[in-house]
Parts: sequence; structure tokens; C-alpha cells
Amino acid sequence: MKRLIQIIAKWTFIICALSALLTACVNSNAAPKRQDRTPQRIVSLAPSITETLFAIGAGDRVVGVTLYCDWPVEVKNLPKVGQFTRFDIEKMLALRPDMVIATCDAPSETINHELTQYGIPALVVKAWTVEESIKTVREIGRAVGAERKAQAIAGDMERRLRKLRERLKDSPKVKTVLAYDREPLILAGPGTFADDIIRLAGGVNAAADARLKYPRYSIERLVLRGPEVIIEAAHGGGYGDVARKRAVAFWNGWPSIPAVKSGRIAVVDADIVSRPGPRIIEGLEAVARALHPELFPIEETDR
Amino acid sequence: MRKPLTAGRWVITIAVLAVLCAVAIAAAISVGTTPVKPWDFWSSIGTEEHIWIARILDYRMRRAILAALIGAGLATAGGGFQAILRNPLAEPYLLGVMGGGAFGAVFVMAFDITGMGVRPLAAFIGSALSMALVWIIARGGKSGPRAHSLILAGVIVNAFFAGIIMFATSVLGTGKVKSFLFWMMGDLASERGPGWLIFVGLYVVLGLVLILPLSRDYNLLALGEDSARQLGVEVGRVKMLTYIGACIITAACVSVAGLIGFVGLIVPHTIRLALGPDHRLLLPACVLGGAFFLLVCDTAARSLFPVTEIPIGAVTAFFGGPFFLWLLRRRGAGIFSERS
Amino acid sequence: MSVDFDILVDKVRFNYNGVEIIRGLDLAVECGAFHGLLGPNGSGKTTLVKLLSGVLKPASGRIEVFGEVSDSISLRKLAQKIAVVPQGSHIAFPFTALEIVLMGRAPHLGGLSLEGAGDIEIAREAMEMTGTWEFRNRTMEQLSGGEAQRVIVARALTQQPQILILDEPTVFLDIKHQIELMELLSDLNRNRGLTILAVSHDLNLTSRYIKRATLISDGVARAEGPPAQVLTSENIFDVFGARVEIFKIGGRMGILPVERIL
Repeated sequence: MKRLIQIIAKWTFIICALSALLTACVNSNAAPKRQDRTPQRIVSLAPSITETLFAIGAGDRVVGVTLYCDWPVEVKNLPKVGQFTRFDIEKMLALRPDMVIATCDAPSETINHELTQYGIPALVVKAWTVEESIKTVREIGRAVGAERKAQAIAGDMERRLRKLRERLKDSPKVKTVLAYDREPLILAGPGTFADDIIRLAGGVNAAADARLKYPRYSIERLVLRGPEVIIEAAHGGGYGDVARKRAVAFWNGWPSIPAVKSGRIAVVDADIVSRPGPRIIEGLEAVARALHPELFPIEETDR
Repeated sequence: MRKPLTAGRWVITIAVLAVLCAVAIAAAISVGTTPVKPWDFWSSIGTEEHIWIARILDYRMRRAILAALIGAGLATAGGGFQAILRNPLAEPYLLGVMGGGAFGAVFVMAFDITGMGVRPLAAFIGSALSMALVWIIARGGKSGPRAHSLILAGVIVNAFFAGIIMFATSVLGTGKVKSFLFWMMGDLASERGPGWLIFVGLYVVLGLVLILPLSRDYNLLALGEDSARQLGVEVGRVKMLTYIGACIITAACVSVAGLIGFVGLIVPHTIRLALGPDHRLLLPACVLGGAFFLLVCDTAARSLFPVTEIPIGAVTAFFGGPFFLWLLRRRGAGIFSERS
Repeated sequence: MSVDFDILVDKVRFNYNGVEIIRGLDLAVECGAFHGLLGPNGSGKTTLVKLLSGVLKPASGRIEVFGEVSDSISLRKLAQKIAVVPQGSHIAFPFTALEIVLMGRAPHLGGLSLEGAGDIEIAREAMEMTGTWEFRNRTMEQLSGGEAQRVIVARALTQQPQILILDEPTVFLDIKHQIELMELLSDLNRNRGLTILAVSHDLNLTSRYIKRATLISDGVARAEGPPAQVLTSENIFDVFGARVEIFKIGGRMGILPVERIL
């Protein structure tokens, strides 16, 4: 019996040693190589990053995106490697990326770990305000070697921002909330993008004193706050007339809210108010139009 | 109708299981979301693809090793708990060890403490803390805590931590919650550096070294604690060694891969139904069987659905539950025998 | 006079959570004795068995086994000399009868070795003596209460002990098997020199076979000596609180209750 155990132990050890050797071989072959050229195969791990890359003309170098990336239209045909917090490493490796760009939502351990190990440069961007979005556009442009175009886009964004500021200079702040969901009612709280947009668009976020970033409000509490405008952020194509009619129908159940009384319910595309990419300015303009319709001439209609 | 264990039967059974394991590892390295196969490693030498193929194989290999280690460890820890609690329904999850680990992870996530290795470390400390808590609450005399006390204490500690976790998830932002939930359901994808593999490997081996030699004592424990003592078993010592061994295995596994339940319950149970309750065969078989089971589950978890992986905790439950039910019905035997 | 005492219990006291169960008990079991420990429920008999086999440690007083203080003997060494047949067994997992019996060899086997042919032979002999060999490969839960009890006895015998302690061994057995068991014990005692200590409250059967008896009640020994001397109707009334009549038929003793209702 003891001898049998010894034999088994010996063979187990040998097999383990061989496996370790094989692993070492494979591992060393997977080690990083030096890299000095501009990235030619970029993987984006957030829709905002994808939009930015395409806007600055690096779209033809993007080889992988997330499930949620949907703009511009060509993106739908690109291989998907995951979503914000989880992605399929195998799929990503199969795309042979030489640069990965992610937002700070992505699991940093995995990014630092996997990618550094394999010598794949990773850029993590952080953007929680409109200003930071503009900075991020430049940052991404630098990282992928498209500085000039990025500079142009960023400059355009800054210009439109300045113009907006001018227009809104003397207007009173309009009390408003931005809702992501109706039932339960989830609003944009302090520190979010939408909060920053509301501020820049000449409004005051009635939910800015919440403790959480995406607080759940009861309708009663909203009634107490009495916002003058209610903006709903709708996902995917649902921001046309039909969506607005539905929103109005819902809110008519609470006529005591000033926004409902005056019929100032607006629906905007959720993507343009939550993705920190070049389209954020459009979102900003849409919200501004909802808050101060009198300042915007009739030709510029809602999207 | 079963004959007592002989050396011959032991060797053959272990050999067959070892072969199954080897096959499972080979399959795990060959299957993934991309059509890369192990032999491509050599056929692609010299091409630009080679290094990427090597990296993909490396990823699969590390994941397979992790799955095998964790499966082996959790299954044996479950077997050990079942032996000292004299209850076939015991498993690491039940005894509060996992609750503490989850708490550690939530804590770190809630307060935004980031950095390499922070979450696993917190989970490990949490697990260790909750295991100590369970032992203390169930405090017994010279012969260690009574089985009932341990189970009860485990349920209490689990409930306590579950409450904290529920509170935390209701208050944290959705992004964090989603990430945490995935971790909680078992995630073999996040920590896979060689350092972590060695960490898990070390603790699993340590735990196995504590538990496996106690096999004969576990057999004797089935007669009852008093009878076991009357046959020369130091019951208190056996309980403590088993508890420590099972807990360090579980803490290490939880810290790296989140909560993977059912392995510690189903694998020992199934092997007991198939091979008999003699722990001298059962436990080594659990080592191999557990590795096999988790390898299959992990391979399925990451390859069945493209892009978004199923959490492995869901796969173990999904596969394990019905399979166990089928085995039980076939055998017809009771889960455990009672004679007062 | 040198009488070897296999077991010596000297003024032992023991309590469970402050309740004193054994209050200064003295007991001496000679080498080769067939000794009966008789007493009512709650008198401390099972506790005494646990004290003797090392499961419990006395609060005061001492217990000597083969001249050594039992505190200083390792559980394993103790198990090589003393085998206990407990009052009832709750087997946690579906072991077969033979597997259970083979567990009796554990105190003699080391580490992780499996039982060899010699061990199986010892087990077979024990099982044939107890009439359990024929269902050796059935799991314990498939056996009746009596059959399982006999398997446990076989297990104790497989330990090849020098002292066999039985706690209410005949409780689950029908009369045929009761007699068979007592005959077996008697035979082992006489022909193999096995020292036997049997705890029982079946006065009739036990008194027929034991050579010496100790009456216990409330944690102390009330009387000791040959069964005929110890089991008088006065002693039985004192200890058990029951009125009995002692009959003598051809040298054999019979204890019958005095009926109060006719």
C-alpha cells in the first residue's frame, strides 16, 4: 500500500513538473514585446470611447468594441468583446490589439493585470463632466496618434460650449430634473454627467442634494421639489413624438408638479447625455433648448 | 452490496479519475470563444499570430489550473465538513465562511479601496474572520464544538453578513453593484496572475494536507463521536484540523474567485453515492472529481455564451443540481442512514 | 493474596454542567471477571462507561486500567485494550456491516494503511460468532435493530480487546439472540479469558451469567458481590424502588415482580 502511494506520488510529481514546464514555455512566449508605433489595432471598452475614436478619424483602426457601442452605424459590424465591467479576454486577444482604451468603470485589476502582462498598452480615461469629456477627446487623440483631428473636434466642442454660455448668460436658472427611468423613478444626482449638463444648460438640478449619484425618488418627493421642467432620458430610438406623448400621459397623473402644469416635459436621447464623447455637446444643446425654449429660434427644432 | 476497500480498487478508481481530469484539462485548453487549438501553438511558430495564440492558450491554461485547484479544494473541504458534522448536507457555504469573504469584498468596493490584490486580500481576511467567529460562537468543550452548534453558528454568521451585504447593495451605485454581484456569483476571470495561482495552490495544498490524512478518523466518526473516541480518535483535534483545513481552502478560493457554491456539497455526495462512504477513497476521489467538475463547469461557463460569460456559480448550480437528482433516483438509496 | 484488577475505580466524581452524576464511586473489576453493573435509569451507568473508556475524564478520584492511570494513557492505547459496545448507534453514512466491523481494527492499524487479509479474517471470526457474517455486505440501514446491534458487538470483538464493556447489549435483541449473545460472552470469558463488564437493567438474564455484580444508584455503588448476594428483594427495592420476589429454581435465580393488581 505504501509503495503504491509512493509510485503514484512520483508520477504525479513528474506530470506536474512537465505541465509546469509547458506552462512556462507558453507563458514566456506570451511575454510582451517592445512597441513604438502608433496603434493600428485599437479595442474600445466603452461606447463613448468608440464614438470619440470614430469622430477623430481613427475609426478604421478600431478592431473591437463593446456590446453597447452603437454609434456610428458601422460599429454594429465590429467584433464585440464585452461590456463595461466584463469582457472576454480570449476574444480580445484574438483581435491582436496593440492598444486598449477603457473608462474607469472597467475592472482595473483585470486591465492592469492581463494587459500589462501581455505588454498591451492600456489607457484608462476618466470623464464625469463636460469639461473632462473635452479633455478626454484630446487625450485619446494623443494616444492613438490623431492629435490634429482630435484637437479640431475638441476645439469645436469648446466653441459650441462658449456660444451656449453666452446665450444663457442672463437667463434665470430653471429648476429641473433628469429622469432615467419612470418606475421606479431614478434621477440624475450630484456628480453625474447629467448634473453637469443641467448646470451648464442654465438649469438647477432639483435632485442635486441627494446622497447617491442615481437616487431613487418617490413621486411624492418630486412633487415637493416642484421642478419647472422634467427631462426624460430615453434609450434607443425612443425619443420621437410617440415617446413624448407617452411621457406626457404618465406625468399628467401628477398635475401639481409645475412642469406638468405648464406642459414642459421633454424627452432626449439618453446616449447623448450620458456618453462623455463628442456628442455630449448635442446633448447639452438639447437640454438647453428644453430649459430655455425662448432663447432658441424656431428653425432649430428638437431632434 | 459493496466489499470493503482494497488497495487494488483504490488504485484503479484513482487512476480512472486522474485520466478523466487530464481529459478535462485538455478539453479546457482546447475550447474557448475563439477556435484556437493547442496544436496551433506549434503550427504557428514564426508567424505573427504565434504570440497571440500563445497568449490565448496561456489564458485558458491558467484558468484551467485555477478551476482545477478550486474544484479540488472546495470538494474536499465539503467532504471534510460533512465528515466532522456527520451530515451529508454540510458544505463550506453553509458554515458562514463564504459570507465573510463576500463582506470583505463589498467593504473594499464600497469604500473604493482599489489596487492590485486588494479585493482578494479583503475577501480572504473576511473569510478568516467569519470562520473564527463561527468557531467561537459554537464553542464547545474538550472535544470541540458540537455539530449542531457549528451548523447553527454558521447559519447565524451567514445571515448576519448577508444582511450587511444586502444593505450595501441597496445603497451602492448600480455599476458597483453589478460588478459585485458578478464576483459574488463566482468569477474565475478576474485574478489569474501566476502569483494568485500560487497563492490558491498553496492554501489548497495546505488544506488537503490537513484533511486527507484524517480519512480513517472520518470513517470512525461515522459511528458517533463517543464511539470514535472509544476507538482511539482524538475527536477534538480532528474537528479542529478539519475546520482549519477546510476554512483556509475556502477562504483562498473565495478570495480569488468569489462564491462558488454547490461544489462542496454535490461532489462529495455524488462520489459517496457512486463509490461508497469510505473516506480513504472518497476524499482523494473528491480531489480529482472536484477538479473535473469545476473544469467542466468553467469551460461551459466561458464558451457557451459569446461575449458575456455566465457566472460560474450559476453553472455549478445549473449542472450540479439536476445531475445529483438523477443519480439519487437511480440509486434509490437514502442520503444517509439513521439508526437511533 | 494478589488479585489483578483490570479496572480500578477509586472514589470517582463526575458532573455534567454542575449536576453531579457520579458521587464517589468505587469499583474493582478483576482480571477475567464477568462483572455486571446493575442499576436503574439515571444512576450513572452510561456515564461510568464513558469514564472508563476515556470519553470523559473524572472531576476527582482516579481510574486505573491495568495499573495505569487512565488519564495518562492515549486514547489509541486505551482502545487497544478496552472495547465498548454502546447502547445504540447512529451511523452517519451508508457503511456496510463488514466495513463497520473492520473499523474495530483501527486502534491496531497505523496511519493510512488499509485492512489486510489478517484483519478481514479476525472480522470474519467475530461476525460468525455473532451470526452476522451472512449480511456483511449490506448497509447498516438495511438491517434490523437487533442485527445492527450484533454487528456492533462483532466490531468490539474485532478490536481484540482485553476488556469488553457492554452498555445494555440485549435491549434490541429477541430472546433467542439475547441468549446467544450472553452465551457468546460467557464462552469468551471462560475460554479466552476476556474480562467483561456488562451494564444492564435486565436483571434476570444478566444475573444468570455474570459472576459478580455491582448495584449502582445515584452515582454510588450500593452493593457488590456475587449476584445471589447482591440481588436481594431488599436491595432491589432500595435501588429500583420496585417490589420483587426472588425465586430459586434448581440453583438458578429468577426475579419476578410482585403484582399489585390481580
